[in-house]
Amino acid sequence: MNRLSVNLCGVELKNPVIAASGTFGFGTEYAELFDVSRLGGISCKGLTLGGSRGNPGIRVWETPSGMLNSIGLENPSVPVFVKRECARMRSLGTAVIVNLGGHSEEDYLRGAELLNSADIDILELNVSCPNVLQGGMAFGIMPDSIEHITRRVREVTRHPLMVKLTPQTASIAAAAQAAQAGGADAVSLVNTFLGMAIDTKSRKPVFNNVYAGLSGSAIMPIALRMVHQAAHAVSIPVVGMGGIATADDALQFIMAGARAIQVGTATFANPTAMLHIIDGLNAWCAANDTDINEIYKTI
Amino acid sequence: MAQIVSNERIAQDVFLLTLNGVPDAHPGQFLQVHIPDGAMLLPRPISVFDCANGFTRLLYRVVGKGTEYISHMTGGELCITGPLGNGFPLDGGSAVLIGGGLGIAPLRLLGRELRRMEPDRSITVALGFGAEEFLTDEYREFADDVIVDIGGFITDRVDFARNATYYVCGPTPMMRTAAARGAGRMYVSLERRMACGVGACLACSVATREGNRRVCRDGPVFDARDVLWEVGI
Repeated sequence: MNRLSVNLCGVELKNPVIAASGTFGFGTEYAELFDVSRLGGISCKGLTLGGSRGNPGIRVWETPSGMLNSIGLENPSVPVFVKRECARMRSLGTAVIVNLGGHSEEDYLRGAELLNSADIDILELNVSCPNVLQGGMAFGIMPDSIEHITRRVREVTRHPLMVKLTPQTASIAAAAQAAQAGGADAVSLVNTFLGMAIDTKSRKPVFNNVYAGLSGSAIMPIALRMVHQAAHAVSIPVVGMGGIATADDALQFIMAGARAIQVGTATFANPTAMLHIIDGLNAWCAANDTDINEIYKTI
Repeated sequence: MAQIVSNERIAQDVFLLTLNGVPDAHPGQFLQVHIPDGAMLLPRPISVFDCANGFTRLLYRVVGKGTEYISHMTGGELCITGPLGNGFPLDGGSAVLIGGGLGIAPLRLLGRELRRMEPDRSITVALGFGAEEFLTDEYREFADDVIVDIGGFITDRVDFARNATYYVCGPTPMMRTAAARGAGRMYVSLERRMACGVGACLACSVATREGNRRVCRDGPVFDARDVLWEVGI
């Protein structure tokens, strides 16, 4: 009996554990290290219409219980994904979530249109990347612009639409409500927190862009609070993420209102972290003679 | 899991770690060494100095908290991912191996393997150090000639006009100089900060003539002519 299967906006996931965008490539790299078909889903590296070479300079920096990144959405472009990566990702035997970023409204719409021909399960609209100079997070800070871009993409895409939110916003509840009002089928949160590091030897910022995105255990309690707030403000499902590294972390997010969870940075520390989480969730449900859906949003 | 057999200080801040239970590496490959007890989040990529009979030796310098932590370990187990990366192509004929600082590390296994493949070939090794030399005898075991430089530019001591394959690993300015002076076959082993180590996160991308490549997966070894040095790595 599967105590872990969940339904995420009409898509059956074998369990609620999803690899977070930007940390798992297109799934094929880690497939050499473990059986990725055991995952509930994989959210692919964030795509943009024309692709990107990403940011110059240092791209990752370890911090206490976390890390900063400034990759800058390096990706091969939507058309190359559709042609080269999509079928391979589908063959991995888990739900395929495609993360789509953009520098302009036109980028998002054209990208979403091209992805209509792709065999994917969910489109994750990235209005929250902190590491690109134009667009990205700019679309996700104000509720009005979240609602607008969500509505426009909703009109274009044939896939279930999940909007990935940034914590850099005045009210995460208002941001989630805006996505729901625009027609989103789900929201995922949180993307990274804007942070900074300075190299005191060179007396310069570590990153060329000065600011970068903070992830890892350091952000978990804040992310958990935001997921709780968002989940109690909307009726569409919330996918929670932010520093989840253990089954206990995942249980907390699910109790707080996450229908599913995403894991990113923890995979760098331990490539099989997600399998441990899945095994831990299974063991917890068995020990408590319950189903993962029974504890959903109980707090 | 790998067992720590020994962890020896061999120079100022430089250590030689011997592990048991790691699969044999191809010359030029590296390991992701996970720091125990959750002391650090990200694993540290360290290139393989040598491996034989089930024992793998890693040469590393203490540069931060992660390597500091490892340097205090005298026994027990380490979680390892790898060997990872492409490693050096093993061309036939004469070889010139140029290492700067800790960049000498992958050249030991490389030279030994090149010698085993062709016992009669010419192998020259040039090793540059900042303040003190270490482990140079390990290179004399297979090299016809070992050039050692302390405090200068090792690239000034190398004849780049020979009909040989050049293998280079060291600080980026040194490799850039070697690439500019070399005319023939030259392979460089690049270093970049990494997170995943398997090609998924794109933290370690470098610009090449073929577009961006991942140091951890497409590298760390690249044809020196393909690297776009002017873009910066």
